Amino acid sequence: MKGKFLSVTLVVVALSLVVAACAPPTPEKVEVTKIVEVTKEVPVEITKEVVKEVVKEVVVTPTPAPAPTGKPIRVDVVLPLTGVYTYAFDLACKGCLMGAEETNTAGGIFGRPVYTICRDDGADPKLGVTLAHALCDDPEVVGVYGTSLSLTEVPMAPVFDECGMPNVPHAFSTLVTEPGYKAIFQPTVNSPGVGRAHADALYKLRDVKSVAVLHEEDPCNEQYKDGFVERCEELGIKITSVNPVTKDTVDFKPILTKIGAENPEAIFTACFVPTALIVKQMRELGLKQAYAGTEIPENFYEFTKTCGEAAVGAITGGEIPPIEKHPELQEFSKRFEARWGVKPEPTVFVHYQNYMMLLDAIKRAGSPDRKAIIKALEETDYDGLVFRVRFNPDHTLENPIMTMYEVTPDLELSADKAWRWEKATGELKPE
Amino acid sequence: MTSLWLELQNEEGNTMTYLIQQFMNGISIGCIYGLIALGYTMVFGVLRMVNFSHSELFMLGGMVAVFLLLGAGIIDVATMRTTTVAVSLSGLQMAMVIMMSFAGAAAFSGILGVIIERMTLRPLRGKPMIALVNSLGTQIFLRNFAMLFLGRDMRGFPRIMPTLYFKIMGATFTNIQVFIIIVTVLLLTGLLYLVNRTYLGRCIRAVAEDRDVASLMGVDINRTIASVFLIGPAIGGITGVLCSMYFEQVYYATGAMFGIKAWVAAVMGGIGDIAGTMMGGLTLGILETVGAGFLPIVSRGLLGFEYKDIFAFSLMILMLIFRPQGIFGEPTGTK
Repeated sequence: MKGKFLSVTLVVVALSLVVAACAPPTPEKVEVTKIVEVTKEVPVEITKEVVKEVVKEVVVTPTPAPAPTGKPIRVDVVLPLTGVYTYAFDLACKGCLMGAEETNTAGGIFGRPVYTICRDDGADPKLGVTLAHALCDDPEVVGVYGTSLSLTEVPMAPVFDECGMPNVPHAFSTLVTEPGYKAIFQPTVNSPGVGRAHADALYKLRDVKSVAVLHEEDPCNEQYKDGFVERCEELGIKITSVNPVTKDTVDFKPILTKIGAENPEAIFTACFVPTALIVKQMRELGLKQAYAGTEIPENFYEFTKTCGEAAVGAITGGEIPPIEKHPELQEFSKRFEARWGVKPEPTVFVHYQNYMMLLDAIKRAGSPDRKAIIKALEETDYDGLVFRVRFNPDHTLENPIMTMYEVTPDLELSADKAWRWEKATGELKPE
Repeated sequence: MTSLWLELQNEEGNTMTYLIQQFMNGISIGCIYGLIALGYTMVFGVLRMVNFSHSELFMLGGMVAVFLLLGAGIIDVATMRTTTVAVSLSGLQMAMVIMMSFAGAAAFSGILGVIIERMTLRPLRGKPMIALVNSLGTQIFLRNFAMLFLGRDMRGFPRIMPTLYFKIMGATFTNIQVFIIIVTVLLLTGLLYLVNRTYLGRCIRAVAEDRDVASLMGVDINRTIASVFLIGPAIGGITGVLCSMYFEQVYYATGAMFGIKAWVAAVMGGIGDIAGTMMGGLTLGILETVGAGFLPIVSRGLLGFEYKDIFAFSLMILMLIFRPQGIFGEPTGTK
């Protein structure tokens, strides 16, 4: 009985194999369909214009680069992907992944594909340091882009430096570069500068004489606050109070009520997450003071959606010039939306640029060797999507740009209400 | 001290405005603490254990409301992920949307509360320490579940009611704050009626008094405890919606700090005592808000607003040392 069953099974299997072998393979089917489609086309008269068009097509359309092969080049991205900071950095991660895809479409680096994993530091210094050690110990990883918060980057930087890992963070604190790390490159404006720019904007655009300050207590926001306060003192603006807040707070009404009692002409926030809630609750309490806040362009659409009309007139600044004046930014925005189905926050432009700058350094290094990449980063002269990146000997950005904005009534960062901040003079020049 | 008061003088020179404003802010947040604390106090009353997962049932209430509003077409996919959308609704529509949010959140949190009791706590009845650790585990599980499946980032909560502003002696407050107070009064009244005037309430009180004797008197212990796990989390779910309406956001970790504060409120008011718990919540909210406003002034900037949690935790330590039964609770002990 057993033998009969076995022989029947074998016959069935053999027949199946024969049928499968006789069936035409799927790709051929596709080819046939294509041929049928072509034969259905209306014949075109070959005129001079048609020939011109065909020639133009041939000349303009680049030959597709050969698909990258071989062992992937690992360039990992570290960002806070869980917790209160998630939304903007989720998009930043998508920007970097898009950069990797575009690089691979263009043939990769040294004919090898770029492979990027977005890793989550949870905006937690302890987790960040653990992650930095893990990346250092992974011989496949040749460079790290991120992280994006100084509070995490400051303790991660010495780990990367010690293991010679090329690291390009998007963290603004001067503590990232001040220790003189060899492997860390900071292609951003620094925190005190951002604070000073906001003080200049409040002074020149609103003519304020007194201001209350709210700030988060981390290496970046502390320096925003310090830069702001220092510049206010230079300009003769009275600081009515300086109030630390925590990122997990949701109810700011007690401190805003206290600030209201001080009656300053303006309120300045050096915060990331709570900014929108602060502005909303400020207006709910009837505080009509002028308002300036850092980091708003980092997640601008989030900010305006939470604040609604309370956001109108808010002064803020960042590295992003007015998008409507820059076709390349508009084009990137379209590409991003087509790829991910969501509009990029302004910060994504800079993340994409700096990630691509790191890939460019790997190309220039001639090999995916950490030491060679650091050398190449030192010699960077990269004309990026947003600005040109060149580093000072201390690995800070050579010519940081800063554009100050006033949020328009239609809740946009528009060129009509944008000013380029001159670091040396504190002047604001219309964009 | 006079100079400190002078520092609080606003343009109209009205110190009272400052105090009224802080008082109003405190009442709103205090109502939220008190309502969450009711869940803790009810469970503690019948089981003599802290149900730590209650804070997550509160958080899930807000989350569920967002998804309900999405399903009902009040907000669309493009905007629900991150935004606070000002939706324009007529008065009746607004009432229906709010009722739907409350009902959905209460049903979800309530049923989940019953499931938690049936699946994780009933098998451990009589083993209080293990049950306590279990409820901590459930809390961590629910928070991470929400993070993984409902979103890692803050979600905007739609502005169902257009914000209206009122002024009392120069202090500004909004219709949402008034709404929170009204809902709190209604829920508290309803709960007090249920516990003191209905058969179920008598059963709950009997089980809280002595479970074995109540059982001998014919009270269905399992059903009574399950009903407590339905009512407490249901109120928690409604509070989650109220809190989301107030701050216009939902976030998977919201329950963490609110849960701790609510627990402090329950301890302060006298755990097991419903009216006392609500008073504890209000006291904590007012104390924390007024205190946080005064802290930078009194300490001359040494301690800022970021230390506002100092009040809740100092109070809990003091209460546990000097009056562990809470302000309104009766002393208990073995005779």
